[in-house]
Amino acid sequence: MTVSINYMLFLPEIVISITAALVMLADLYIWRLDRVKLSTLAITGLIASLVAMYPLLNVTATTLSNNVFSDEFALFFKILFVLTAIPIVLISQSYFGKNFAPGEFLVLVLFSLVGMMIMVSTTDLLVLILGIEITSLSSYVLTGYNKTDKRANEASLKYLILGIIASAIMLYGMSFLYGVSGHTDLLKMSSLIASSRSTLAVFGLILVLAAFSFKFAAAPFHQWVPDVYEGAPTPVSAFLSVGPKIAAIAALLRLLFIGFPAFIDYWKIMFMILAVISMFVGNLVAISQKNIKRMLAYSSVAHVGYILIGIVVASKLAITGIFFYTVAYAIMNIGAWAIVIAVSEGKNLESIDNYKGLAKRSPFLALSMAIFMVALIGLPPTSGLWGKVYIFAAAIKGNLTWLALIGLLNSVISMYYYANVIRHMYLMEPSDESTLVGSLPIKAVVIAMILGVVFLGVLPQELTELSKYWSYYGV
Amino acid sequence: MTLKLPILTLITFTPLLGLLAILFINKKDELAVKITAAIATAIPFLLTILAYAKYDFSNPGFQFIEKLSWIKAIGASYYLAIDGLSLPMVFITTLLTFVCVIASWNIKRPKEYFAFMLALSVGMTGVFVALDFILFYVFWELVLIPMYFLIGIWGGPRREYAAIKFFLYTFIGSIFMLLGILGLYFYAGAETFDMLKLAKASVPLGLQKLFFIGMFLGFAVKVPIVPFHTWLPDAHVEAPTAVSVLLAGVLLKMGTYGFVRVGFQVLPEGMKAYMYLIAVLGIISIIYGALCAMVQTDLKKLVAYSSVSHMGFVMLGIASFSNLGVKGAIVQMFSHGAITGMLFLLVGAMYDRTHTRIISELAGMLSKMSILTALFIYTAFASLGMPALSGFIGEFLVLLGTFSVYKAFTALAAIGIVITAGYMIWTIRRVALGQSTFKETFLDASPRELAYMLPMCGLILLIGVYPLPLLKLINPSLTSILSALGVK
Repeated sequence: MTVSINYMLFLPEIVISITAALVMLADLYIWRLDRVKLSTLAITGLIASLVAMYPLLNVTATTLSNNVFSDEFALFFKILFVLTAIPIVLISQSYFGKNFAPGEFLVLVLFSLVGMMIMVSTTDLLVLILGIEITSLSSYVLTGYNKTDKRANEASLKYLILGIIASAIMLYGMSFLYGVSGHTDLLKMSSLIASSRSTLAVFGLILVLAAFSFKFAAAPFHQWVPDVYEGAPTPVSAFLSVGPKIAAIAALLRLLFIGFPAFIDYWKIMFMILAVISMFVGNLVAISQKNIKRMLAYSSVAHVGYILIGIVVASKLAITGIFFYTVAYAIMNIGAWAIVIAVSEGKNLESIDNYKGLAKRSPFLALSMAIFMVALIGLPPTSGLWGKVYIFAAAIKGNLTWLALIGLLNSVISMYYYANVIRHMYLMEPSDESTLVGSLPIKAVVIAMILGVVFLGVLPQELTELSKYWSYYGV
Repeated sequence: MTLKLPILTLITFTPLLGLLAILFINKKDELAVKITAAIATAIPFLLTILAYAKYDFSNPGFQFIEKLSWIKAIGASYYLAIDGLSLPMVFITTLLTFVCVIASWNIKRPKEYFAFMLALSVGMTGVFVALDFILFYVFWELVLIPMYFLIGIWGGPRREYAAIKFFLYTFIGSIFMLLGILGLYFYAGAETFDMLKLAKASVPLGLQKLFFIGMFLGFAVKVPIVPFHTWLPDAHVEAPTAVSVLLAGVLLKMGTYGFVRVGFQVLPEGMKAYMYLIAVLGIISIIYGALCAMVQTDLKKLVAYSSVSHMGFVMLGIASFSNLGVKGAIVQMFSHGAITGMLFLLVGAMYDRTHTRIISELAGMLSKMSILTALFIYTAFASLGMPALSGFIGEFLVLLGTFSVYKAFTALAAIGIVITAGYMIWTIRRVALGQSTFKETFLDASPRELAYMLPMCGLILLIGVYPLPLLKLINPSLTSILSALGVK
């Protein structure tokens, strides 16, 4: 019996996989260690995948016996992933060298991207696990890419062991869900589980959600993030903070709203607690950090907390806010990490003290970092404001004003450590007066991100309209 | 009144164009930076005068309206307009910004300084012309970052502490203001952030009071109302001269303007419920501010506390809910901007020469720098409410308006005036008269300094002797707003 497969639906994944294979082969046989050519090949492949997404506009379809579910929700995130991968390739340029082979690095990033795309374009739990594992395995290796760096080794091992435990717990939870419903597809599962109201299903769901919370690093499942973000090579930290995190959130949206809307009373409470803990832990612990990578790691935990508020509220406005927030967050974060790479100058200068007097050493980098810090605080006229406004407004509308108040107070707390960086850059004298010039790819990425931050900050209506399109997910 | 120009957008955003131009000028070319900044702030001032000239005094409503859809998804619009209450504020903002650019002519690192000042100017002007709550909030928050940098980089010895205190304090206040705005947006059910439409929506009294408390906290930190005032002495003292002028002359007015606009037009019942409390806080600000000013040894800190005291008058006038009282409050806002602006400029000029702000060390200035000291005496008298100068008009109207409502408070406010007179005259004696401890001669006011000081003094005299240009601007709009509330 032949089964017709609609290849168009996962053409982007195919294109990226082929690109990865080509990069691997090219690195082996023709362009050994040539970072420029290999990166160009990778970026060409990424742009080609964007082109391959074009026929998927306005299409909602399934294939491979409903294992691939491609709709515009998936398309939104696929485009977002590719658009974050391109700057990551660009900012990694200064790291590539003899001890940091470009070939395998690009291949791993591309495969991770495939995994993320699979995560968002499926409603089947097993395929979801497949996507999560592909992404995670690539991430584990990427974290330890700097073979000689002890911190990278430690980070990679921690991430691997904790990640595998999390995946195991997720599979265990999913086995319960399968046991109760007899299906692995969320669409088929949801009505069966809703009517059965079985405790076993709730238990399974909680296990799955806990494992998910590990993947996108909500407190108290966040413990791996500071060590991994600090130990991994900075481009990898940048990638981890936007790519797999956002993919996990997108997959969570699907899971909760397609699979388990019936259990909203349970997961609402769970995420309420996670949101509050994430915000407070993320913001309060970030204040004491002296290493900027750890600070950004804790800040990302806090931002996940804000997004979880949106999930708790689960209304149309909240979903709009979550979509806007993820895009805004990706842009601000990549920009900030790009400057971290520029300032560390390949010598692991990651202490916040290295930012002293940056305004004198490099006005451009200092101003850009200041803009990203302001955006992360959530002040106008940057994009960071609107995501927070929408999510907190949704909380107020949904009678969860106390949650909005906690979120706003946390924004004030976060102001302290972001302003601390600005303080170092502008109000302190540099320890050495050498001028710092960012490399061309970094400058290009930073300018693109600044334009994104300011454009979305001043003219958010386009993205808001786009985000509103998926608000039907909300209850 | 229709003008072919989008005049309010030009007034608000011309400094932004100046900012972009400055970013591209080489930081070594200081003169080009300064001239660009001067032009970028002179244009809004001239346009404001144009707006005043073209203003239709018979129309009590909003004029020069510019409304564009901004974020349709949530109902936020780009909505700028002015009426008789906001035009005086825009005038004092654009005037003081231009004056401050000229006053900061010899600042170090002019490129960054004027860049931040122009960014600040956009936010300050925008607050007074925005009629959409989200736009209002954006402009309100916009002033925080430039102010942080201005105080933190060019300020005095404790500048970092003052800058972060100012930032944190004001940010927390605006958080509560945002909560109030969002609450109002949802419970009014109007699907728009347009202030006037939200004003028409009927919100139950309990909720109105709640939202007003949120906005109150945001405005109260800015005014500043005791006990939310503790950021002010630090910020004013540590900030460089021109930044202190803008802080006292404009930023404080943002808070009181918020009370007038939101309190009288959008949430009148909410504010009315807290009328008495605001009056009490106003009186406390007047007396406490004056007493604190009395014991200061630092001249700049004395002026800072006198600001707290004068803003107490404004709050008292607003809380009186009477036509005369609110009119006095607005006149006081306008004149205080000019008077305190001048005081800070003079203190700064004295500091530039003597490098001290300690009053005991500044004795005998009349013999050392006669013109500056003469201006200082003049402005100090204006500050204590001497008739024929603008401070009197504001304070007198406030007292008139409050007398019918709170007789006891009027008496206390009058006592506050006496205390103010006390410390001001005592300060004049200590600073101007006596034997100077300095041996060297000082340059008196330079032509540049006179160029901006004399017009400001002239303005103070004009409004004091002939306040009609200001009053005929305020009257129609104020009367129409208050009569809608049933206030005669």
